[in-house]
Amino acid sequence: MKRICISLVFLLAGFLLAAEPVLKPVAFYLKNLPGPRIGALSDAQIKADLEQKGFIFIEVDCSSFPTTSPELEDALCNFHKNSPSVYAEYENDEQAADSRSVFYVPEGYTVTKDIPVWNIVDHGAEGSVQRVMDTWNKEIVDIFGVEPVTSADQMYNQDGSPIDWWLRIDIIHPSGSIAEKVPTLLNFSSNSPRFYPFSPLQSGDQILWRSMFPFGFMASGYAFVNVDHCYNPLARGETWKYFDRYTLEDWNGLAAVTAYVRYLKSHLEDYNLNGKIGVMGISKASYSAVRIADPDNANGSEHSLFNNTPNTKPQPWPGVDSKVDVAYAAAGNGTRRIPKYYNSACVPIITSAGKTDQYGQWDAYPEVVSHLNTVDNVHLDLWMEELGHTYPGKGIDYATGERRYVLFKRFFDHYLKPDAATAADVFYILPKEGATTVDVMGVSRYLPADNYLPAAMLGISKTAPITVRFLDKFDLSEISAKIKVVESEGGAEVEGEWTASMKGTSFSFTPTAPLTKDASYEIMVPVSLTSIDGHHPSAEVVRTFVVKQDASGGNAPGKLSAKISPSDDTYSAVAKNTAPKGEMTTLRMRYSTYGDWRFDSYLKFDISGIDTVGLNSAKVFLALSAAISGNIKVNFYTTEGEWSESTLVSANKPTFASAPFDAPVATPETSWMEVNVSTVLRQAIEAGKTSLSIAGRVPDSEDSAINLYVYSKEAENEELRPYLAIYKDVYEGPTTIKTARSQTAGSPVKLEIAVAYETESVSWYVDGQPCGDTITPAAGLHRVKAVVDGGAERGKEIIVKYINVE
Amino acid sequence: MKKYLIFIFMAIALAATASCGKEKKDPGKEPVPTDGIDAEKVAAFILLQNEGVYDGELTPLLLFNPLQHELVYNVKTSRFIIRNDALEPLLTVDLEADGEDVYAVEVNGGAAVTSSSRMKLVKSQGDTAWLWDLDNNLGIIILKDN
Repeated sequence: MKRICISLVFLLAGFLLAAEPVLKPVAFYLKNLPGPRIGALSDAQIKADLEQKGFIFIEVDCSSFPTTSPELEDALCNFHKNSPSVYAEYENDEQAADSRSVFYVPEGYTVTKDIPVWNIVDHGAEGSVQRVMDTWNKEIVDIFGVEPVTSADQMYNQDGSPIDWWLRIDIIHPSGSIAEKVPTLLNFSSNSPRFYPFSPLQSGDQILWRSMFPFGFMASGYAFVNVDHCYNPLARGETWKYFDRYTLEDWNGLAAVTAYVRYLKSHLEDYNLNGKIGVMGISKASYSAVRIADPDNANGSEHSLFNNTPNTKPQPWPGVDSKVDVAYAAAGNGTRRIPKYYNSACVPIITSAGKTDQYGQWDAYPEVVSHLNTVDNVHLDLWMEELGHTYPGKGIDYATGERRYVLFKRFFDHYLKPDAATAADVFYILPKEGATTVDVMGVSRYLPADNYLPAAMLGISKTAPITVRFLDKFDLSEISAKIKVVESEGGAEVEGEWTASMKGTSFSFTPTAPLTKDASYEIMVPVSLTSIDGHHPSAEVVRTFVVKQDASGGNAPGKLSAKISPSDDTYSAVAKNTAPKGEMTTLRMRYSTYGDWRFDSYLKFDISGIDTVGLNSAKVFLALSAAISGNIKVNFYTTEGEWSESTLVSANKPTFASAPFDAPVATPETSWMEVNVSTVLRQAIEAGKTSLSIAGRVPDSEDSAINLYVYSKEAENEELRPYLAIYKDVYEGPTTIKTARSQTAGSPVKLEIAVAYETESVSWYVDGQPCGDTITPAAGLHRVKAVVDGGAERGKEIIVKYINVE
Repeated sequence: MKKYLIFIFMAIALAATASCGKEKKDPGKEPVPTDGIDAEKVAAFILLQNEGVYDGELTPLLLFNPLQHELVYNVKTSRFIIRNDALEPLLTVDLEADGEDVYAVEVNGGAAVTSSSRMKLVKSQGDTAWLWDLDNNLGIIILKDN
């Protein structure tokens, strides 16, 4: 009865709307792009084809656009921004433009749209359809007031149309049949309809500039493929728009993404593809990019299983591999899962995070980068301090001083157009052009300023040594022999040692002796340099830099200044624990999918007597009380809210910070686990807190069979109890005014002092009057006084020195 | 409040290590007598401006040279130093205060070597203090916290 009513409503609505214009996708056909026309069909044939497929066909003359990248892409983005006013002129009583489906088609290309590739019912894991029905009965029924269902075919879309169980793809590809096939940029869509993320109606330039990627890649001879997210079909934007349980990705994501790649590789001739594939996905699409980056993805397991049962259904498009060549993943579950899924065998990867990402991806990024650094595969990390939840389409990369999009494009081109590469050019050099932070060891600031960075950097260095990075591979001996660091004045070569990383693509230089402050140096990359593939740089590259600072320091472990025992320590199951465990002699940490078997540990330290002056580092030491059978990582978080070991249970446990500040790994050989609390301790002190409260939690990626037990403060053996160790810088020299005694009248004089710790504050006085650290004194003898606040450890110190100005 | 500090150790050293390892003596914290001060001599002493050590006749034993030396005073440790540009201490004075009474345990440097001195703060102006060594008849002008 219900279905009949719905059908009648649908028919009535259709009748009433019969006079409404048909909503059509838009195809901007880009004529006269700077590159060669690729595709066999004539413009007229393509126009007819696209109009037959339902597109509003609009020809765009690009002859006046810039001919170089990325200026061309910028021009196309600006056109895209204004495109609604262009396609509005094609709207009439019969047709309206679907602003969520706006395609750009290079001259010679065409579009094949809505290709069904993978079906939830036919190919999905057992339990997938049941989960959709469960979503309907538990969520859709309550929210939208529909009737519960007992079978899948009883469900329908909000407009009454049947559920589409297919995952589909769109391909913008060279038309007809051509001899020289093209590489593919495969984008995992993060919304629906699948081209909606590239809609001109998306707000803000940083979102609109996502389109840099399809524009730039297609304009340089790529096909562009855009594919559906592995949606719970009820959650699509064009259906119920219900977003909470929006995905089936955890159970089917790997099956779907491998099917997409197999489909493309099964139809290379149909779409004029050469089989080279680069993938990109942000937000909910990042998981697909991360999983497909593993060349062994065909043998991988889904992230989760229904009833612990793998999917045994035959999968579509068999007989070809599902390997890709390069990947980009950002800002989603996928990137957060990089520590679990990305390894040294995976394809090269770019990741990024935006500081203003509303989903907290910025704070989660250090864990991603830390893992990538550890794996030491080829990777490019883009810290986007001025962007949010989007692609790196806009902005300059702080680390390299290069435009992010250009770095991205060069990176992908290298792996997708290997035959086009005739030169092994430098990818980037550190110090970057115009760097002002280079110290006497050649080390310069690599990451944006501290106030932009996440609180917990997990040990990631904010500085980098002299570095020359390529996309090609080189032997270290070739680099050591031919790349020179020389003094700009006189050309004397700086002695030092080169080391290689990222599989022989990145090389760092450490001078044997400190460089001279204020002196200029040059890093010289000659054209004679030869890559393993026999390529050379297309031109000599010289990067000039000036040493501006003394040694950055801060890496020494410092001197043990204090050992502090916890005031409280305990552990608890995440759920259902009602008995405080503060009296236990051990703390327990374990991952489990069941809350009552997942255990977190809590420690609290009194820090009221600690100050930050000279604070080098701080660690919490935890002694393992039982051997473990394998490696296990523990994420450590700061906590908010009062707690005590005598009362903490599941129901009143404190709140964790959004991201861990450290993630040490215990191995079977570990006796003491070290937790780096340097940053969070400093923050707590600076915030005026008198206690530091932390919690250890084993993340989802770890083996639930491993329990990690460490001794608590109640342990019988005092030597094995936890403690917080405070390390302060060792400084043997005196506090002294470094400014030269003899100065020239009329010239600015920089007042400088050697202090024990960088954090010591200095007040300056000249002839009894307070002043800044730069003065321009008149001729004569001047009394310069520095008052240094050395904190509780060193105390206040006053130094007087006279400077003689002539 | 630093003007109320009592100075315990006083060491004059020509070499950096001259006073190192020497055991500090307990000054006894007896009140510093205010009598016995040669008022005329002190009146002349407090007119001197140059940091350093002077004997009972106000003859300089070691003087701060503004073209060669640096003055240092650590408030926490109450240590006063005159050192040269090579950072070698020429005069190191460790001090302790108790009210307005001043004590020194040891003086060693220049032409004077003394210990366990009782001293009187006879003038304090700006960041300079004038101390008179009652036991050894010495005047010392030091940098202090103001």
